[in-house]
Amino acid sequence: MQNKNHLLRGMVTAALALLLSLPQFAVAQQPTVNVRGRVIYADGAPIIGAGVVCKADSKIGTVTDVDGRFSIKYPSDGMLVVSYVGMKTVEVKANAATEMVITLQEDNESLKSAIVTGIVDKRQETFTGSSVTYTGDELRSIGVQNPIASLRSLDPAFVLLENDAFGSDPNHLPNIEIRGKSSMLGLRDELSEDPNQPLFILDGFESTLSAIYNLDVSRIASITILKDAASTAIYGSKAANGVVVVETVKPVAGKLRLSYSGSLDVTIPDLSSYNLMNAQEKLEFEKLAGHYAANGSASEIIAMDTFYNERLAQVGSGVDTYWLSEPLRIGMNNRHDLYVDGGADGFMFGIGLNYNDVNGVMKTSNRDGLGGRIDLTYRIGKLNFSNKFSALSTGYTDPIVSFSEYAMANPYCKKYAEDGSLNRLLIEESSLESAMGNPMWNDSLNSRNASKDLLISDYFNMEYNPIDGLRLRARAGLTYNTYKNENFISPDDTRFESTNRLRRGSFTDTDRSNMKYEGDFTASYGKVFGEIHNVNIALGGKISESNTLTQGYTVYGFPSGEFTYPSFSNGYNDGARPTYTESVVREASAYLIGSYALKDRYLLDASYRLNGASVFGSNKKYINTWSLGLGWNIHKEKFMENVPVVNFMKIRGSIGNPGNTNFESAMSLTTFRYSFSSYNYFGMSTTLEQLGNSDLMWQTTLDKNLGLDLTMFNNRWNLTMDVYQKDTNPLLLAIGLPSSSGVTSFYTNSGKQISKGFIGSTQFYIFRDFSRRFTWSVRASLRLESSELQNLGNSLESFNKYSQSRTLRRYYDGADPDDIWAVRSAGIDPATGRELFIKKDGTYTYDFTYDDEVIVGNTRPDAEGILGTNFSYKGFTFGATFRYCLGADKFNNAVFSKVENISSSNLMYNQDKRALYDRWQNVGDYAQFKNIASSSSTPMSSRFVQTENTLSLESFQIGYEFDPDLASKMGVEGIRVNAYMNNIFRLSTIKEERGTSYPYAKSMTFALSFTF
Amino acid sequence: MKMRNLIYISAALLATLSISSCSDWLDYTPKDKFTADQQFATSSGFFDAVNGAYNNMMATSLYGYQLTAGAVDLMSSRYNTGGNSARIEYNFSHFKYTDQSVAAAIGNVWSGMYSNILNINVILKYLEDQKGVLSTDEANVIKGEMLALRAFHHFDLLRLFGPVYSKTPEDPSIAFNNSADAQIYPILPANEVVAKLIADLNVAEGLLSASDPILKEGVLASAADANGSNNLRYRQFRMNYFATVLLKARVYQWAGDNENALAEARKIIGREDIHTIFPFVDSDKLIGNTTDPDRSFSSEVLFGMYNPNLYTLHEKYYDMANLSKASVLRPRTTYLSGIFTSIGDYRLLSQWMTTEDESEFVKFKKITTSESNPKVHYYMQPLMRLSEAYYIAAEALKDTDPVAAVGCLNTVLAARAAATLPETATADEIQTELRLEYIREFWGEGQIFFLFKRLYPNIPKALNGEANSAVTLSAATTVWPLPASEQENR
Repeated sequence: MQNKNHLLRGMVTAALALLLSLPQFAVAQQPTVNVRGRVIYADGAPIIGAGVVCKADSKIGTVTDVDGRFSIKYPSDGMLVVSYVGMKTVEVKANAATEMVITLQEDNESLKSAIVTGIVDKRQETFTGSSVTYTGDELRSIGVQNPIASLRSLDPAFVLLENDAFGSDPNHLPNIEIRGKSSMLGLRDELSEDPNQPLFILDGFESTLSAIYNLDVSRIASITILKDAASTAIYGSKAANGVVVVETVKPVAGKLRLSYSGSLDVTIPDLSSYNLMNAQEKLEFEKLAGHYAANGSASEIIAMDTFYNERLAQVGSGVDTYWLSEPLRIGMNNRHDLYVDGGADGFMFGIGLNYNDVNGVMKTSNRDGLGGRIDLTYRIGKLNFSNKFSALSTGYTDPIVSFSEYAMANPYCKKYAEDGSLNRLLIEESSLESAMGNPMWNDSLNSRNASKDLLISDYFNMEYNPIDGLRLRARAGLTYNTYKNENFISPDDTRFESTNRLRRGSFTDTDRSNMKYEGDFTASYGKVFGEIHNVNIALGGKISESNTLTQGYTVYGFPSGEFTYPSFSNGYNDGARPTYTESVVREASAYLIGSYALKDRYLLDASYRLNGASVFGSNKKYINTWSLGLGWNIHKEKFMENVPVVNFMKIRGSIGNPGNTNFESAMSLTTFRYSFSSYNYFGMSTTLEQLGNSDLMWQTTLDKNLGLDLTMFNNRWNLTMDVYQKDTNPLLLAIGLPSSSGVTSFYTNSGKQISKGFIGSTQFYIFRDFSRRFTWSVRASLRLESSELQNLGNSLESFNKYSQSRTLRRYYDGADPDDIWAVRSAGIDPATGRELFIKKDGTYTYDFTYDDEVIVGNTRPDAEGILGTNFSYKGFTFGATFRYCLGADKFNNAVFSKVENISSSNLMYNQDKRALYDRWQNVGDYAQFKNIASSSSTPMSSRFVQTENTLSLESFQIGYEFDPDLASKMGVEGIRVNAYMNNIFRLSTIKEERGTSYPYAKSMTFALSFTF
Repeated sequence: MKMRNLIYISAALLATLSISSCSDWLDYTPKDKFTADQQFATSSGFFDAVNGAYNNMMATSLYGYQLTAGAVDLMSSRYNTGGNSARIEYNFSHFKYTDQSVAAAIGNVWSGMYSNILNINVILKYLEDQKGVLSTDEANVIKGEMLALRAFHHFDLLRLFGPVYSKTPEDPSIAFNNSADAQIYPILPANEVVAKLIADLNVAEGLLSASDPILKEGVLASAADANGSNNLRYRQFRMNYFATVLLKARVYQWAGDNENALAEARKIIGREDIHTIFPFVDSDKLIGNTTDPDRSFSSEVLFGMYNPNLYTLHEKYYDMANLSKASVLRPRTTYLSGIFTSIGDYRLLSQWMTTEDESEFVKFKKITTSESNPKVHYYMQPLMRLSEAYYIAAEALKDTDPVAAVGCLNTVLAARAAATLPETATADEIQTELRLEYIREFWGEGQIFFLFKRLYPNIPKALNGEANSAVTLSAATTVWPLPASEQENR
């Protein structure tokens, strides 16, 4: 692995060195003048990415920036050729005296603005689906850390689910949803792969969340989010959760150009949600909770008294250890991306190199990535070839000791012994107390959890345009991914305290490799008949095969922590063997996509796809998906000509049934699995893996969408609204059975779920003066969602019962699956310290019964959205993005498990201050929490459900782009500097520990990009 | 013209992607799993599945630990587990079934047993559906073994979760799971479960007595020649005819039916050739052997598991040299001298290592195993042994024919080089010696708790290895509660 990395590094460095030497003789041939200008649409909006090339010498050229601006060093006065997709190409005389303004006219024959679906491109104006495209610049205006975080702040439908456990762990991938869950009810266990995750497409090929997450933001040309059936159904059986289509930048023709983009981040841990006891409080709490109370034999009582007095003396001598800061640091991250591109005569190339070094706020949490890429395109006649090769090697290290262990460590224990060395144990193992290790000791050992990931992909694309309007495209992609994790736990780690000495220390090795081949072919034809009938048709097919091999082993027993490699171990545990699993998934599909527009006013989109996959089971290899969309461009109607205030107005609707095969699909089969680890005299053995339900049907979702796009007041105000309904019928449920049936859950079909939602976003330009380069806009978005279950009957009754003591989630007809069910609480009775409950009929009782459960809240926010503003004056830009989230009800786990419900075995860990101060102690106390002396468990009542309203500043950006003249004096084509602050503050109405295994962090970023 | 050609070419390309040719390509069969139909299409598939059903038992949550050396042994108060209530060993030893880790372990026993029972039921179902794949003898043996093995699982569940049978035989006990479908079974009264067990065991006994090679060829504890298969060899690792009969005797004894228990035990100990099939341990191979002593007396084992993880038991729980004092499992000091009244007892000499006043249990300590000359006892974890048939007979006879009872008991004692009982011993004396014998013989094998639960006496001071006091048993201490995974889904 290390060797590969070096090889890659060497190759890319050599290539770059070679290229950097080229400009020496490519430029500086004759004296040049600097021509500046802006390229705009007829309405004044800037055209981003328009090509500006010298007519006489096509080697000299550039593209316009985010404001439509360009600057080009021109040998002498002459003609410039300005072109952009969907617009008529113009030739203008270069004028170095002033800033030129070049207006491009719409070319009706081709596209104005295209929606990149990854299979066929659609015209924005006539497309009836719900989708949004964000340019790379828009993503970079939010942040440069990763594209996923930027998308979250831009699109209200793109939801990152908060994970309170993993906080700001840079190596933990988030869970993502587009337009809510397509539902999988009754599951008790976490699925290995999130069944609600959208499909990711990178440059036309299926990709993974982790590949997109690790993609350098400066490489992205655009990201399109496909949301409704009309846009996603072309992806068939995997599209029910939406599709994210990512396009990377393509090399641009012209002279050799070098672009650099880099950033430096500072991340600071945010511990504001922690509220832990100090030493004195903790000891006092232990005493009040009865830890040292007399119980058992005389010698035991004396022993407990001794413990208390020793600890009291410690506290008295001033021991008050603050553990939380120990594993933390201020993280410094840096990111660099270099791209060289250019070319002429139909041949263009781009070579890139990027490096990313992330140091999380926990000391041993790092990620560093080194990647290279080579993009080539070649056009000869009507044939166009392009190839994108990229390689990315990423190394990760993760903390050995979770942050929660520091949060649990006792404040009355010392970090260091008298002689200055670290204490190994905070509490010694005795016959009365279990041992408690010092997390700092465990962190100081040479244990390690390190991973390496190598991703290599090559995407080849060939296009042939034999006649106007007909396009034949064949693509082939190959992706190779290896992942290796080594996890060594030192034999001195305190977790091995009660383990046999010969088995202390462990080394786990996990290797995974994946090879994926994909190929597709599409023939598309588009033509306008009689100037009014616009017809587009595409027919195609795709095949793919993915091979995954996972192997690993764990060995135990290391002589001492210095020897960290498996060869030093005592061996496998007796009978244990390496694991080895291989899985092959094959897919084949054929699709037909058509669209029709009459006078560009009346619009129709339709698609059909037949999906076959080896995972569906031998009896059900194929799934059909289809979609139909209708739209009406009202602004094109004659009667609207008299309403100049409306620039654009489209009503659209769609219906379709995209599928969801993210979960293991062979649930209808009874299967046996080889257990290779138990070979004996009788040979191999196989055991029942799964008892299938042969009557099982696939879960299908009928997705309906109705939307409006409106632009008014000379393009100053725009509004997009969508309402949608997703009917999943029948649902696929995992129902619980008594374990004496031999299975604990069993898949069956029952009931349906109806999810409805509204998503709206709007933007208004307060100032929009392009001539003075001054704009100021504000934007807002809103998401409302609700779900309802129907026809479940009592099929999930057993799940509901099972959940009673575990979660507050219940599934009943007519209720929302995100509802919180609990018995209402009237608080703590001041007379007894016991909790008073409210029965269904409103009367009070001490006796808790689950029969009194009612809906006390809903975990989904009533409303969530983004408020933002962007300001731009000359080269200066400023942007801020706030997120608001109203009315989400939350079960406060910190209060439930660290204030109450502290069992006698958890008493040794540090707890929330409220466990000492806010619990009932004496008759007459009006306390929020029950009797401090009671270690009995408290049921989950409405007392722990709190409504959360939050406002957070997700992104704050200030940037400056140097004036082109100034830039050229500095010898470069353009320079931009940016400063970002992400997750600066978060106001919440409830106090809860966030980031339990890994704390949350605030970050500040300084970014620089330039081109020359 | 050119364009037309291209369209034809592309149409042809698409046709290759068409459904008919794709179908085969999509028919990929994974290598590490099978559908049940594929599994049971061949005779080797059947035997692989049978092997799997036995191997499932060696999980540490089941017979690999908890149902032998673990929970069941701890509950018969044999180890000094200290006073730390955070340890699962302490909580099992003090019958704290509401403790989280104890409740989880109990839940895992219940769900693990029933999940293997379902596995067995699927094999039994395909045995009916796929007639003709196996020869008559093979089908008989597999069906007999699977019925008996299912009874073995149910019976241990009954002994743990069921009532004290002698007091309340009609109390609800466990579910009797006998189909290959996922369904809800009623919790039956203990006596109804016993009736179902006996019925299944009778069928199993009939099938095995017709086809089990152990009756003609013995335990066959050696590999077949190059062309043969081991499927019907190594009979000690399978629910063979004798194991099935002993299980029946156990069930009758549990239900208080001494007459039938005796009759079943006599089918074993009454046979002329029983010591040819299951010879008593050879002390030369035991005491004088320092490399690979047969500490579990494998030649006497009627049914055991092939458990390659066997030696981890010693490493994890008994190894005094390498475990911390608070975590090693050992009885209180001076306890063993009260149990082993004869210092020459082979069991004391081979299964215990005594230094000063500390005793270490070494029955499962790693021995030198040789790959080129593997012996059956290397990885055998005993579940049923010949001596139990003598004990069952002795207990059944102690009131009616004490002389015969002493005879049975002395057969075992003599084979262990321990002091025998005089022929004049009373029923009480026989019973006292029997209790001691269970402790000496089945240490690490879990049968002792069931003796206490069945006879429902208190555990006397001398037999308590935890502390020097008697333990009072009650329904609350001897009956495991049904786990949450069972109750919540009813």
